[in-house]
Amino acid sequence: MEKNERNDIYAVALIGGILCIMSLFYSDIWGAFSFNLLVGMIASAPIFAQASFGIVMLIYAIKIRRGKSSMMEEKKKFLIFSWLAVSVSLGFSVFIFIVVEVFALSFPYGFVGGLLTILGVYYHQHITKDTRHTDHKQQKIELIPIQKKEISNPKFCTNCGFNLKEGPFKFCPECGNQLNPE
Amino acid sequence: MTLTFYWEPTLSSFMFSALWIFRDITLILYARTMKKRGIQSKFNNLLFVMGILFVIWNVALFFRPGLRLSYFLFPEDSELAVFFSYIILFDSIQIIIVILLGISLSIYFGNKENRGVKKPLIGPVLFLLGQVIFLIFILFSDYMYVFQNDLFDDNYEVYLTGSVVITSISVVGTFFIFLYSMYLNRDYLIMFCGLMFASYLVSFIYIMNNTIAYFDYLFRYGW
Repeated sequence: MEKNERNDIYAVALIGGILCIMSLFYSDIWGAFSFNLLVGMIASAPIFAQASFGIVMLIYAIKIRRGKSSMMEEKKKFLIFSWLAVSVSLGFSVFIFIVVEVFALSFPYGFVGGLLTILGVYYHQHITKDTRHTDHKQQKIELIPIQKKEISNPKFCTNCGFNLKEGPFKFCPECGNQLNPE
Repeated sequence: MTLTFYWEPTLSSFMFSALWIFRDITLILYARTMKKRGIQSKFNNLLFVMGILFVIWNVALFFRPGLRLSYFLFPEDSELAVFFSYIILFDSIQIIIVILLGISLSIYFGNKENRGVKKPLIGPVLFLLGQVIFLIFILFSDYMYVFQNDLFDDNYEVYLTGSVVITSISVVGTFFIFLYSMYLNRDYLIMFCGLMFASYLVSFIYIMNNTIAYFDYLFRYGW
């Protein structure tokens, strides 16, 4: 299909970061601040949080694009910040809807950006079959082989020389010597 | 005159059209980069032309004047005709351009290089199907709005839910295109699909807010 083996999956995180930053421009922060200082601070905090998550995702996506790191290394960061962006945007939208009874227009950007990044990361994990974490766990819970006890069945007692014809004994019936040490 | 043209650009309308234009520029960049990387296809130019068409249309939509009818004076028939034809014209042109995009995408993914492979056609065909149904639905609802306005106002929920349900078909189609673009390892197509998702959700939220305001107005001041 393609001759060169470039990995363009970084585009998912790049567009996710750009969308998270976009939520800054689609929200009426100045209107909230002009209404009340407290309301403005409450309304702008999750938007600034979303934008900061977006900036982090964008920085690491550009790093991957330039070849300074790989998707394998930055996977955990992308997952953390995209889940944060999704949860913050959803919670913020529900809060705003309860208070103002209108859906916030900044909500779709963080939501879509975060969801796309999550999907891309899991897709990349699926196609590369990266099972490092599962292998690591398996090493911890490695099964210890059970050693089977070998029951020795001597014919004569090692202490007194009594003939042990009748079945395996744990102790010598004559002198009480322990025949099978545990 | 009861009919007036107006143009009131706001910050949100400017940012909306900026999002649409950003989305369409990624499509142009995709067609350009595919040529540079040597992945030749006959239909790269088709997508390039579609991107330019979308950019032109969205720039035109930003400068589109709105039309307002006065509620206090009864409008003449000619003015009413201008008002309704303006609405139908812009609604239908918008969807017809999207249908052209769907056709070009289905030609692009179903070309001779992928002969025998039908899976990549799922996305574009679903997208196209959803838009074709949406065109029929919009024309029907515009017809209702023009000729039976009272009936349209009474059944506004039908319009809302119908438009949401029908666009969800093309959203699923876009999702399949997104997955296939990740499989093909093409960055600008991934970006285009992501921005498509964002534009779908933004337009959905915008419609929801408008309906909430509409019903708020109705409950406050009556029919």
